[in-house]
Amino acid sequence: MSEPTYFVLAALLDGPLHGYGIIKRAGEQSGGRVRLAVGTLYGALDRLAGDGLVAVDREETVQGRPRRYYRLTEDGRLALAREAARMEQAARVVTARMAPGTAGA
Amino acid sequence: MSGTFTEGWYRLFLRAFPRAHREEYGAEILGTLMHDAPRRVPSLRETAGLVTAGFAARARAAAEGPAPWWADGTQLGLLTLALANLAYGVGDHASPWWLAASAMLVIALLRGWASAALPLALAVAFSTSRAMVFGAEATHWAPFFGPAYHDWISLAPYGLLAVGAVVLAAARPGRLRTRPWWWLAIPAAAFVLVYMPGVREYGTVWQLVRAGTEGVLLLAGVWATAVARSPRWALAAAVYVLPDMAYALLTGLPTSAQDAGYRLTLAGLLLVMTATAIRPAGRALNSSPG
Repeated sequence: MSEPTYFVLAALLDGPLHGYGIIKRAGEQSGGRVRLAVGTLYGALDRLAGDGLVAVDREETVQGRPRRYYRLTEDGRLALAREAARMEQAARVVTARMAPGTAGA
Repeated sequence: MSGTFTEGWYRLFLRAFPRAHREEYGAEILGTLMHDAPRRVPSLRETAGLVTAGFAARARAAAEGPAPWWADGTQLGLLTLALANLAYGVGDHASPWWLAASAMLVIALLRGWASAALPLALAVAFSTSRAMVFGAEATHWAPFFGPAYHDWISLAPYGLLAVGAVVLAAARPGRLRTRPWWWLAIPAAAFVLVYMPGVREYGTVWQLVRAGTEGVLLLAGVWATAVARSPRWALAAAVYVLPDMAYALLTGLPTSAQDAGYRLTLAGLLLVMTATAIRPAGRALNSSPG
């Protein structure tokens, strides 16, 4: 799973969000590393919906424009948990070998 | 500049996405782009995002079409050969009969009509090879025949065109893709270059436009392959590039450093495309999750 995909899915952990909310949340939670262009986000949402990892939660109309809220599906939650565990294990390979205080030295 | 201009700008670049994607997400994408107080100036970053994501979605939609990859790649490769044949027919000031047959072959391949493409491809292969099959005097047969070639290696693209058309018609691989009409910009450009004052057919401008078009299309193929991980574009590129490479290899050394550079670039792009199709998917946002 790519880092942007990871943060798009992670943005939905606390509940459904619309596109703009996902971009904001992914940016905040990644410390500004993931800056999604709107077109890129909707390309990714289309594929994630096709893979059954996200689904449309509800749709509303704001100032005449459609606004859909996306939520994580159970499969999406599982995929995200698996990826988090994989990265945790990968991080341990390094952190376990570094004595406290030597990081960054 | 106003918000209306900005929205119109984004709406224009939204057209990079396939129609189905625009219908599903278009209004929402515009809404998200205009979410903050309407911007006075469109963002270049968002514009680039629309273009790249749009073309990526197109590449993926192409790879998920009903025809198998080999049939789609063959159809596209044959289309490029037929387009080159038509463009060179224009450059050669061939008879209207020949241009009409060449144009009909392009349209049959463009629209995915395999059974219409077959007789046309066979006729084109027959006509171009008649001097080799029936002797040099066949070159001067009736005016509806086009150019005749006098060595087998020059006939490689036409042989491939005929064999490919037979494969598509005989294998009946399912519904072939209907490709957009903008491919006809290639023969249109050939007409412009042949009849524009001050430009000579097969002169420097012609060669530059040809090499530029080939380069842009092959680069687009590399990119589409990287996005959709399908070998269809590499197959199409091989159908177009390999006959020309065979010609260059069998007829001796390149005529100039420029010629060598041109051929090496085409071969390099074909190799990159093939390697990209084989290589396992990367970890970009464009790749599938999981």
